[in-house]
Amino acid sequence: MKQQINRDTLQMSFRFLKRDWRSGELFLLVAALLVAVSISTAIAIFSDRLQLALSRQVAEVMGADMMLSGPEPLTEKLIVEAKQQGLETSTTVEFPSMLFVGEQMQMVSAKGVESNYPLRGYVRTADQPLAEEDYISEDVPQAGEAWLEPRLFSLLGINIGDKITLGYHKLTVTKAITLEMDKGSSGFMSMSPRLMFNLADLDKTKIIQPGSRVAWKVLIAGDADTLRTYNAWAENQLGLNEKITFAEDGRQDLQKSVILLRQFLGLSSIAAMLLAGIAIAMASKRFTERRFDSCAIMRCAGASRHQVLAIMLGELCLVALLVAIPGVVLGWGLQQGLVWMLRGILPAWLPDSDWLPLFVGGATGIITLIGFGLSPLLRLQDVSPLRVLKKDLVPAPAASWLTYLLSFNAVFMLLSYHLQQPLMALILAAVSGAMLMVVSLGIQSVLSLFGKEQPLRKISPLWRLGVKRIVQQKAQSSAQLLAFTLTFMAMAVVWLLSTDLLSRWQDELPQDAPNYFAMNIQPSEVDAYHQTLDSLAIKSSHLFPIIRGRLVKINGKPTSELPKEILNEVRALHRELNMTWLEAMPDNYQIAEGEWWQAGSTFGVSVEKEIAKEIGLKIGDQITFSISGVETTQPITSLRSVEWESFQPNFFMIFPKAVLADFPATWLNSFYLAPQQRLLLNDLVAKFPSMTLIDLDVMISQVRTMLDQSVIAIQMMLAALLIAGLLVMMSVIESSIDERLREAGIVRALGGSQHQLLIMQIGEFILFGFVSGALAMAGTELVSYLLNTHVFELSWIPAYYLWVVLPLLSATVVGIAGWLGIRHTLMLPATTILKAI
Amino acid sequence: MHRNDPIIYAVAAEQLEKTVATQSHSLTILSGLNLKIKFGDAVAIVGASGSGKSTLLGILAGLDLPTSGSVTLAEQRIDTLDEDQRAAVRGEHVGFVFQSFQLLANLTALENVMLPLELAGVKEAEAKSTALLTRVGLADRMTHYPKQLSGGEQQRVAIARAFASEPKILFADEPTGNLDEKTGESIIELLFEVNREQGTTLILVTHDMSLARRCQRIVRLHNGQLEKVTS
Repeated sequence: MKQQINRDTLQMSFRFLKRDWRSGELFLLVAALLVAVSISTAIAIFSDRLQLALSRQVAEVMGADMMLSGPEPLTEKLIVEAKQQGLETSTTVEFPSMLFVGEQMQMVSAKGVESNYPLRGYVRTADQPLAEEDYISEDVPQAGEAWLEPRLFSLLGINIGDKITLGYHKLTVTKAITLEMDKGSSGFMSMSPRLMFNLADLDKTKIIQPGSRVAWKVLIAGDADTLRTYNAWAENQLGLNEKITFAEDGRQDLQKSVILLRQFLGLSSIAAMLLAGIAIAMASKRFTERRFDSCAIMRCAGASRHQVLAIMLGELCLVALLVAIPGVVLGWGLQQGLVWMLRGILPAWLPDSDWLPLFVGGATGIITLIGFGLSPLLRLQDVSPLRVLKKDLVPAPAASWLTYLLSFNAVFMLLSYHLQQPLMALILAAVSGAMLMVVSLGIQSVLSLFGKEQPLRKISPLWRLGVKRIVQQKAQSSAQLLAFTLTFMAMAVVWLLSTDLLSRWQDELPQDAPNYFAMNIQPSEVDAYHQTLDSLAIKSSHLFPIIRGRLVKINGKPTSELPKEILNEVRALHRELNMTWLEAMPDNYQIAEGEWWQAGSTFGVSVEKEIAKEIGLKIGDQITFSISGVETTQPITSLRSVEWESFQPNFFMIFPKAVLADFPATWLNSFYLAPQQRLLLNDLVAKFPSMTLIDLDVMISQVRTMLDQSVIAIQMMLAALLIAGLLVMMSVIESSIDERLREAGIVRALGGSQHQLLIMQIGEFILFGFVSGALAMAGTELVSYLLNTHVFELSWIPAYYLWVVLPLLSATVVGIAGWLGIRHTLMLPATTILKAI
Repeated sequence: MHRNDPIIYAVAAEQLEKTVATQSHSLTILSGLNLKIKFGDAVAIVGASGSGKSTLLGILAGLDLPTSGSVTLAEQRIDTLDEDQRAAVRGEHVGFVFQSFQLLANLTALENVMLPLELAGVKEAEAKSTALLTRVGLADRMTHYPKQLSGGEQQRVAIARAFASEPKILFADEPTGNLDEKTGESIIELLFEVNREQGTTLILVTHDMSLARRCQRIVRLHNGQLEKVTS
């Protein structure tokens, strides 16, 4: 019996669905849901693929997704297990060594590689040193061969085909390495010019002896899940001094951008969902209200409250199911189209995403539907059968606690997924929910205040109708105002963040950001170096003296006595630091605490803020450095914040000139070289053979590519938000269309002209738009302040232009949308309108 | 209006046709209908449900257009005017009382009455409307909203609004249809009283013969044409 009822209910739901679909009643609900599902699917897939692509770009810079490293060959079982889990591995070894060619010798950084090196990224080589043409190398040096960095050719006076001696083994030079993408991950050793050879030749060189300074690495690549599983296992298997590095950990600078973008995409996608949710809530409210009559008749005909509700819920579920599938397909198509449109900019090998985003997209739509669309529908069970006699019998509006609870749940679930931090999501959802309630109540009480004001009578009758509707229907007006406000706020926040992020990135990475670092310039060469750069018209930074020293004592206590956690964490305590002296503070430096010294000062040290925090240093601490065996103790006079991703020379420790001037120094500077100027490097290398050049071009162009992709992602988000926002407007207008039609009819019958009618209706929209724009402006500033200072850790300044632009823009947009929505009602003859009601 | 016709009519319809297209065929509501109503007359249009009474009223009042034929309202041909021009004629000469009152829910009783005056740019809208509402017995209900008023009170507001612009012609569409008998009677009483006071031409659509009999003339709409009814 029960089954029979269920089947009948479902059949009824299906019949209602067909009927409503034919009559166009379902259009808005279906459209809002379709937008929610397709946008969330598209965003989920696209951001998933983009994140995979970004991490792969990061991986290119390390040559792998993940890396095991240590001073000894790595534990064999680590490699065996990786292979067993289906991961690809490639072993490399790096060590400093003296290279001999006849009487000549030169310090090099030698690197032995296996045939599948690198696993990510590539090595570019040329057939001649500093040739204009180079290409991506498909193999590695064969046994008995060596590839050299171009400057080695001039330093040693050799050519392709010559023999060189590495340790006890002779190798033939076959190619010049023009680009080694993962060189940046090698640490200080990579500053010597590179020699690359086949790992098979390592034993023959007989260089590696116990105690040699060697870096062994096992590069690992594979899919993210396997890498995670492997990592979980490997962490407990690591030997002494062995460690695991993920590509993302390796590059703090790139990682920060990736995290920012990920957070940005997540937040924007929540904003889009929220808008679609509002549209669904509005559409569902109207859907419900239009069902009052049919529900009353069903109740009269003997249907129970439960049955009525079951039939309507059944219809909603059918809608959800029928929309989810095409929505997911559409979302997939959208992101495919997007990828196709952006094929020139996105990497050609954009990785495919897995099935999860498809599921996430579909589920998001359904969660949004339940969260925002269910509570209005529940009113249908309270429709009185007496309504067939008394039209004005309307069920009580949905309980606001239920509405809020359901939508809170939906927002919480979406936030948890995107932020991956349930507690944070809970707090955010609770805070924003509470704020919404406060704002909604605030709007309602302001409207009540206005409602009492007699001066409303003084307003022109053309505007009064709109103003009075807003004031009289407080609950509805505040819901609509909030909907518009959230729409404009979401768009403004995303817009503001994107312009903030972009301009910040662009500031840090101007077109002529230095792309070469010159190190190891001898004091005797400084003047000549300066002149050479000038004569070649190369734009360069300040020249910094480099003095190497080790931090040995803090307030008289040896650093070795620091707590173990600090000693383990802070690598800078175990190595010599590059330090410099400066009299005047460069413009791009920022003092966080303390003061920069006066020129001529004889004491003091300025410490980078983060490292000071890690070690526990504060202003006034006396810190002792050992420099070439001599100790010097200085008080900390300032803490500096340093933008490590700025590609400018940066230092942990800076002293006044008088403190370090007597210590032996080499000099460093950075300069920008346009691609067509690359051959100038030949002159530089020939003139200053001991100088070390570091090429940052690859790194910079990688970051630029990422920025370009981020811009596209951001623009797409804005487009998605715009679509969702338009839907909200459509649904708000649609939800009041019956009332507006009736008003239009009456005003028409009473002799109102089309022009008067237009002002009456549009005036209200313009007013609505203006007020919600002003509210959105306040909200945007608050959110951007909170996001900038608490999430992205950026500085915040008010965007004054928004204070003017947002209210005007929203007044215009809502006005136009309103006009588009109701213009047909203005054309209809009065009787048609009055009859339609 | 015919050149040689010495009588000036408040409403004159000649050879009115109204057809509406349905999905399968077109439906004729009015076919070759003629009607002339003199200024100051009170005419009741009766007929069965669905006979087209309200359609005829809409066309005569300039709310809708006939498919063919001519309509003259207060000495102006309105079937050739566009919607705005007809609205201007309505604003100046016509008042309405509807079965479902058609008050604007967000305006108070006073504001509802003021609306047609304000639309026409009348300066003393408030004073006039206050006087009218007092006349219909709602002096203490001016600031009430329609939902705070009973059905009878709402119809009184509608009557006050209908007479606010001092129309020459008043169209009333089943004015007691939504009211109980007693209230209906008092409303009709009021309607005829004010009508008399203002010397308005009354065109009343109803299916209530007792109400119709209060008019000077009764016409019945049948098969798209008017028949004279002798009471």
